[in-house]
Amino acid sequence: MAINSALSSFSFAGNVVADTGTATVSLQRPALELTSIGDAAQRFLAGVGGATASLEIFHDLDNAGHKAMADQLNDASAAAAVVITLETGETFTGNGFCTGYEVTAQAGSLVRANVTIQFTSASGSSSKPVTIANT
Amino acid sequence: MASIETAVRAMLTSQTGGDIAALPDARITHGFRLQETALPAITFEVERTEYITIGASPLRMANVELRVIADTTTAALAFEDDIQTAVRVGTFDTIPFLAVDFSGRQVEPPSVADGDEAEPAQLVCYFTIYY
Repeated sequence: MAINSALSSFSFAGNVVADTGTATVSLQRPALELTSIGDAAQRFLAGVGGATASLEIFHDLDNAGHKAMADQLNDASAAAAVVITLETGETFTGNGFCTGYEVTAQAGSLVRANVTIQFTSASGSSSKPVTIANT
Repeated sequence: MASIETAVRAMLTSQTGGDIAALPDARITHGFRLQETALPAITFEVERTEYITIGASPLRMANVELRVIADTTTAALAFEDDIQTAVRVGTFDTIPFLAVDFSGRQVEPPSVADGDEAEPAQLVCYFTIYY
């Protein structure tokens, strides 16, 4: 069943990021190639996972979520909790660094910011950059 | 029940001072005005609304067209500054307008003709309201 995005939310460091136009989470796990010279077909090993998130928001530092991301970019050294919650309660949870906060003011529109987040995970073979939970 | 249409009208009728405030309340109407009624008058339409954010209380955007109808172009243009002042941030009919953008205007001169074919001048202003 398709899920309505109107009731989804994005939180950063425990703060709901209000005035979010678009929220995107990108999970990647490119396979590692093991193909040898002489093989007739490609062979792969399961890859190493990684994830990023990006947001388009209507920038306002009075919003706690916006400020948390800007502050994290400026000052913080530790990753912050990032949770994307869909209308169904499905969640994407991880820890990330705010790696970009690009503010744009354009005539005839609201001030917008494009925010990028790099997820990080704990060391070890069982760690995941983002945990997906379906309630 | 409050709607974006009632809120826009409340915003206009709550304007104090200036040409808009001097208009009788009945001359500010949604969509149309009756022929043969006194001028100047203002009509407005909300052309389209849409959600522009996700979240439990999504931000909405409405494109609003305001028409000042007057006997002459000069009389219609006299409202321009007032219109830009009147369309403002605030809470109207319980709906908070969080930001407004003036996106342009055009002037339609009066059409001189006989009887019903004569048309008054119109100043058409376009706004985007975020609420």
